[in-house]
Amino acid sequence: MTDINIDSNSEQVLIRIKRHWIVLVRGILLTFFIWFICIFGFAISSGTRAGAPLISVILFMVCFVLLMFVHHWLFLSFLGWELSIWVITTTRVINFKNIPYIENDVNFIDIKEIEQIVQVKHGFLQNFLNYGKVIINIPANQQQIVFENLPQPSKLANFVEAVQKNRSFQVMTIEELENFFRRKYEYIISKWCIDEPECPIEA
Amino acid sequence: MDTWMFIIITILNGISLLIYIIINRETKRVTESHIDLIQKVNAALVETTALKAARFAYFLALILLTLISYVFFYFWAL
Repeated sequence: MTDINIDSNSEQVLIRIKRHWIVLVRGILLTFFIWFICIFGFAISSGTRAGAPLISVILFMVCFVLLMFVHHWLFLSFLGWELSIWVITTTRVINFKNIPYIENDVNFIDIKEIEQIVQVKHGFLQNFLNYGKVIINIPANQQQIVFENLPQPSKLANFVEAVQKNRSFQVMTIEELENFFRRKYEYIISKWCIDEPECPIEA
Repeated sequence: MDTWMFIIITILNGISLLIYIIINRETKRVTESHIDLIQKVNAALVETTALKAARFAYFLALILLTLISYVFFYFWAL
């Protein structure tokens, strides 16, 4: 985590992170369940065709439309999972939150403005599969920025912190720091003894 | 009845294909806008293989669903 090579002149993309795969499991399970129900529905529809043709047709159509809906919903959520990413650069954290035609958010957070990062992993599943949420506090923003279902939230929080520290060190190099303190010293001394004959600072 | 059922199923499959085309185009557009935003930063971010695979899987699953719908219809009409 400490060997991040940061070029202060230009912003570099360091990592891209997707949400944890667990967010897809619910959709996949629901899809299997709907498929099971629909196959059962198709079988009933076939069986009741001779006795009650109208009910049979309606049941067939309902099952078919349900399958279509679930199919598109599953792939929409999967594409949304692929498109919703975190990008951490040397100066910013960018969050793309997207589901085609449903959600389109882009969130830019300046790394130097981040005051506090909290990682939260609640429950057995989150601790077992190592995912959770990361909460970012920014003084300028009244509300907390919460990123849900992130894999390895502690590593991410450490990474952002490391980037933040490296950047703040690069803002002022050792020479710049020395110059800054020398100028400060000279200014203070000059104020204090500029009119004295033994003053170390030349007027 | 069977002919009407076949026509309705075909129309629904057509609508399904249309939905796929619309979502696919939107996915491409969103990816390009993300790439634009990131390229403003500097890195050449290309469309990920996983996203391409997801779109291809979406298309394959749609074809499969269409075929299955006709198989179900065939058994229903028997």
